[in-house]
Amino acid sequence: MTTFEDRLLVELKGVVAERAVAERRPSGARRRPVRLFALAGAVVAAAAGIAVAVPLATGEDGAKANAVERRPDGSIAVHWRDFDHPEQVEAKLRGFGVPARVTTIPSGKQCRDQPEERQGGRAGGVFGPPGALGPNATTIYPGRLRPGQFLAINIWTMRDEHGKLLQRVMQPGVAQGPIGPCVLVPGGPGVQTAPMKGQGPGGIEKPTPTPSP
Amino acid sequence: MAEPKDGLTAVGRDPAVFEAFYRRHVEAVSRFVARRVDDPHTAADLTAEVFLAVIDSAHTYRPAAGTEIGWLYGVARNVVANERRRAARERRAAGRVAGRRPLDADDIARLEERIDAEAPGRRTYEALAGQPEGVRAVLELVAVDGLTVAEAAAALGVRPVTVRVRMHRVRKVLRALVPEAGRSLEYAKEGA
Repeated sequence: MTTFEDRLLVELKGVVAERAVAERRPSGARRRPVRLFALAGAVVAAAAGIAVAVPLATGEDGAKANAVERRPDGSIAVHWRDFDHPEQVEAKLRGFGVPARVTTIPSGKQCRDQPEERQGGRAGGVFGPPGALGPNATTIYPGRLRPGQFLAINIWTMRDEHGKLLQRVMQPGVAQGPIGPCVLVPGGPGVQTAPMKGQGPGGIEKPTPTPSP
Repeated sequence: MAEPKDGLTAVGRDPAVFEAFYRRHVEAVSRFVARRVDDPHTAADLTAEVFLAVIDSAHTYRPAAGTEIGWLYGVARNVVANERRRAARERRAAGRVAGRRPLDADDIARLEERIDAEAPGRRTYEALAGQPEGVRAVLELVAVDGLTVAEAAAALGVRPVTVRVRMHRVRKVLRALVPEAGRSLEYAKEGA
């Protein structure tokens, strides 16, 4: 007969083992370190750590949907697996009582009439540090949202000629006011694959191999 | 068992390392929880939540910032505080949803014994409820949980001198509130 503490140990060792497997899952592209990109345009201040572009791991199980979970410390974690159905992530966040708008935006476009948005250090600590839960997870502290604020998570995507996702840049932000849909207009920010290079003409350039730091 | 010299990242990645950490600390965590709740099911749930939080945040521990114990108690405090806030919200919303860990009769009996044994600590903890937050946090860790000044500082992310100043301020108040806790403050150890 086992005690509660014995059973708990077994359960927790399973959790640790699962995490170890998830960390070691082979990826077609680099998973670490997280690359920081400078975005051109007035949308985002170029402080490091606000927008993160990470090559997606190949070989991911496409059958699993993006997972959204409440963590023991009260925060919410979004585990991104694909960016084909941002509305599902949005719905799950709202299921946790978190007002959100999650939008994927093609390279070279932006949302018209953006509500006043704050990103990075000006988002009031609503988002945890990028990469804290792994390269494909975003941590949210909903308790830090002020009344009338909602999460505005914009994801610029670059796809190849077959529509396969090559690269994405996530801009987690906090916005004020009623949530409206994103109306796409031309002129989104340019995204470089190497920081501080010359600005492209408002489009996302193809990723070039760069050595790991 | 020796503490690891570098960080605790392996605790969240290697089941064998986690097991060693768990065995080192499960009793202390269980008693920490028993000093704050008086229901065996909640105590069991919180113990589990603390170690889940340990697994998730083990990689954030910095040896330079304080001891393993100090860090662990900081994690435990956060888990308990979050649980209280969540439970308060749920009580306002609906009844508490089932999701408790299964406990057999022996588990319940043992946990109730532990909760009884920690009754003096719980009284002190409750007596501190009226104090300002920063002071209460320090007193809780030193007078209720018996941490050294250095460990309490690590748990709270403040400097040891801050801990000493707060303790000094409330020594008299505490002695009046809970005599046995006042005495434990007299003997509070500095720690490494």
